Amino acid sequence: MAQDDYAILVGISRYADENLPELNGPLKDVTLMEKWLLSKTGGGLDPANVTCIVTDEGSHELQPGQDMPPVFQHFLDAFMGIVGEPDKSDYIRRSEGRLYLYFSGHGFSEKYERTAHAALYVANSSRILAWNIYGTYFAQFAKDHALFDEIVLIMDCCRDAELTKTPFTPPLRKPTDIGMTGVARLLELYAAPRGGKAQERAIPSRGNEVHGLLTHAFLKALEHADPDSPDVTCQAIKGYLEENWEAICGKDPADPPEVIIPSNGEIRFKRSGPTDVEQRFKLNRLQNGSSFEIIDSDFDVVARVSINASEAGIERTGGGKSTFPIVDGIFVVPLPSTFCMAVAHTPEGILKRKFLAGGNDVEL
Amino acid sequence: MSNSKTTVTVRIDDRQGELEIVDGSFRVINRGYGMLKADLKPGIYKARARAGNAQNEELFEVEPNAHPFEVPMDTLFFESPIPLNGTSTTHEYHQDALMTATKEAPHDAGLGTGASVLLSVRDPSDASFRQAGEPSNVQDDYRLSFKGFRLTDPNGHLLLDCDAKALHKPDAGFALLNLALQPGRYALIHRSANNTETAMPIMAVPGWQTQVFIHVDFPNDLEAPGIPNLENRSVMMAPLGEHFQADDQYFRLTEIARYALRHGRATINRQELELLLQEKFQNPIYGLFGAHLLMLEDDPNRYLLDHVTDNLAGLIGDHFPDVMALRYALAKRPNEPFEIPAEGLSFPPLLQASWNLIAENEGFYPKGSFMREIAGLLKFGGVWLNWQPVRKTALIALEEADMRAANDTLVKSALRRTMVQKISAFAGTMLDKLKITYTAKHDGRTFEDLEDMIADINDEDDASRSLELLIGLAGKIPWEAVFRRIKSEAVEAGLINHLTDLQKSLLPTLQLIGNQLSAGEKFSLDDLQQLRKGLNIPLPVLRESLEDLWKKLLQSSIAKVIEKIADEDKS
Repeated sequence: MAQDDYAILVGISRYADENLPELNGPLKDVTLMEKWLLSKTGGGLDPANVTCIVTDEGSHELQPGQDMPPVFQHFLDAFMGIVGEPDKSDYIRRSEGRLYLYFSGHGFSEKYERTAHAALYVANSSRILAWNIYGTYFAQFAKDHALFDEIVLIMDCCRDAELTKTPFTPPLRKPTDIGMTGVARLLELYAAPRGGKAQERAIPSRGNEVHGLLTHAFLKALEHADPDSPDVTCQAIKGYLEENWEAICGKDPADPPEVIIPSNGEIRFKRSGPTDVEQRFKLNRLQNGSSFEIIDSDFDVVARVSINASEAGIERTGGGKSTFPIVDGIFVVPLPSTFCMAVAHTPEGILKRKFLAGGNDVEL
Repeated sequence: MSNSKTTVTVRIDDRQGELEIVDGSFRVINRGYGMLKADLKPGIYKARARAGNAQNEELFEVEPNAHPFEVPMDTLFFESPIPLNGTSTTHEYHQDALMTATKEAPHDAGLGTGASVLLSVRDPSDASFRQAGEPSNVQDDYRLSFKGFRLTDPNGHLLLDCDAKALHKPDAGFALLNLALQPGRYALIHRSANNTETAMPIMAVPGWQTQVFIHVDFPNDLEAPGIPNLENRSVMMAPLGEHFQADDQYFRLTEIARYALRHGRATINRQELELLLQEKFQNPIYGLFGAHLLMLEDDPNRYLLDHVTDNLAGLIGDHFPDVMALRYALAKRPNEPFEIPAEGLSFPPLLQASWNLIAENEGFYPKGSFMREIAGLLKFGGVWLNWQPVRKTALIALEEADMRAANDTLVKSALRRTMVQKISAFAGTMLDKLKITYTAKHDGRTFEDLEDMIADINDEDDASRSLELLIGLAGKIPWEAVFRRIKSEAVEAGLINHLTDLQKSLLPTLQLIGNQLSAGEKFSLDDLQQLRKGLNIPLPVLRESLEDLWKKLLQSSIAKVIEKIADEDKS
């Protein structure tokens, strides 16, 4: 178990400000992330080290003047509870630890700042009092003072720069000893580019539950990215999200996420092993009795596919045979998440189709 | 399998756009601009081309022992307010109109000669055709969408109603104005349908035409007037008398650079950017974008930045605000002396990025200067600097509003009476007007203390005075209670209309600092500088905004709230 790993997960779905519409994803996002963080083959965190700050969707109407929770102070208390000494005399450094800061809800980006950053509106935010949690600031603070060896910031929220709001930079006291800057590594994932919109939607592969697209995609990346490796690097997550974003969004496009990987080393995420993605093939020129090869990005043949009347027979390189039903000329083959090419020899010549596994249908 | 490498050339048809080659692990293994050569081992790769907001991708395979080959990429058609060739939002009839307008002598409206400004407001969609068949109210709304522009001097004095002088062709979806101007500083003001005003800087430079291109966004079913997209505008500078050329490659390149700067990423890689900037470029805006893109680098090429800045100074003058901001930033890096003129920066820079370079130094914002006046009034403007126009009558309007409010029950309050008297005395110094006769106590702290403290603060712009004021406001007002009451009494909206964007962001900051002070935490000068940096304004502006905020709070219904809290505490 990752004893020194901690997480604060914030999900806000209801807001006092009527300009911030209700969301359906944040609480489910937090649940999904928490499940992964507590999983032995995932984050491996001690449940005592995971703090969830979420909207109480069952709460009753507020009294006049009462602040709708969660509020900024809830997060600040949780953060200081993790990084501060109990007597507030100094900070605790966990040189073997990792801090996850996860936010889901409505957010924004400060208008002047050109470096990547975002802030999450808290529930009591209003037109005049735009309370928010400046996620980037807290992640950067933890990094700058090396409070953890690794910091993972995930902000599944909009980075709308048109709202003239300023992220809060609370006057956190600096640690008493300095000189650790540059040691810690920070991975930042933002659901949208600056000025862009994050999206939540029903995800068919998650039982049609509504989730933030970034949260869904991040967890997919942990499963599928870098198929040759037992764990996943930041670089692989970034590449996976960039290449697969269109496929993840499907017919309804969304602003792409922005991923900032550490410049001073890698952060590795555990997993039980890579899993394949599903690739749909649509038969057009190829007929019953024909076959084709699937070649991966290293130009190795990964599978041979034989087309029969009602099923496709798949023979994997290195062993393993399986069949998949063909319905209306369409069948699915599990493949490693990489660029591939289908090569078929037809009477008219060689038919080649390059594709991103798990992406658009491949017509053969 | 052979691992011999093959040279692959990826080329964008017009050589304009960022290029990347991505391998099967989704890693970017090569980058370039326009054309990219790479030696690749056998495998499947992706070529990715980006320009503006457009992106093309192409998967390609490198067969074992393949001969060198090329991966051609189509020209990227991105969106632009300028009807340039190779953009997705151009129309020949808009190009023709601009060519005609720039071939003619600029309109003489009695504003002098020696420079000019071109204003192009256009609808790149098909709404101009659709509106023609709609009822008259829809057509009227459509026509209105191109209006609301006027030219003023920096102080807001009207020089020209652009709407009256521009060529309006609603059926073709554009309005154009080519205007002769005396070189100098101007503001282009736009008033939206809901009366929100935005000021944009115009520097009219001798021998140059400043060109402002704005596109109008329309709702799909034209149920409301369109909105000129000021944040996404393009500004160009062209030698006076030069005609608009739809195939101007530098204009297109400048647009790509604008997108890059907007998204804070150097999409043009360093080597290519340096090559482009080393040329004797003729488009000052391209030079400005290029310089700021260079500054995004971790280790900017100082020699090239000097070269670009010199080139810019040669084109548009050393006193052009953005050039001066660059000079200041360059001098600061090796800590060289830089002499800021006594009058500070005479006019705001065009680019927000230029403003960011100087915001830390209050020398650019001397008391009474225009820069000081607008520093607390900035508005979001994409890469451009925008501000809420300075209206000398604003305070008077506020006073009148409060006088009207005096008819309600608030007037019965002694506090209110005092305030109304004070409001009517708007003429003296700001701090004098802040004095109130308020004696209520809260948590043992008196508002008189605050009054005294504010009154004690003199006009020196030093950091400790700003800190004192901030701590005073944060610590001595029970913000949490005040804001709870404001929410419950639904008086929030009345106050918000009078606050600047900066002040809106300061309110919760004050509460937060107040909470921390109550918890025994300190708020130091370092913290103040951090706050200033985040707000992107010089300290004196922060101080003045706080003073002004306090004044507005007193004038608004919030005073009643404070009074009630105090009464409750007493009882």
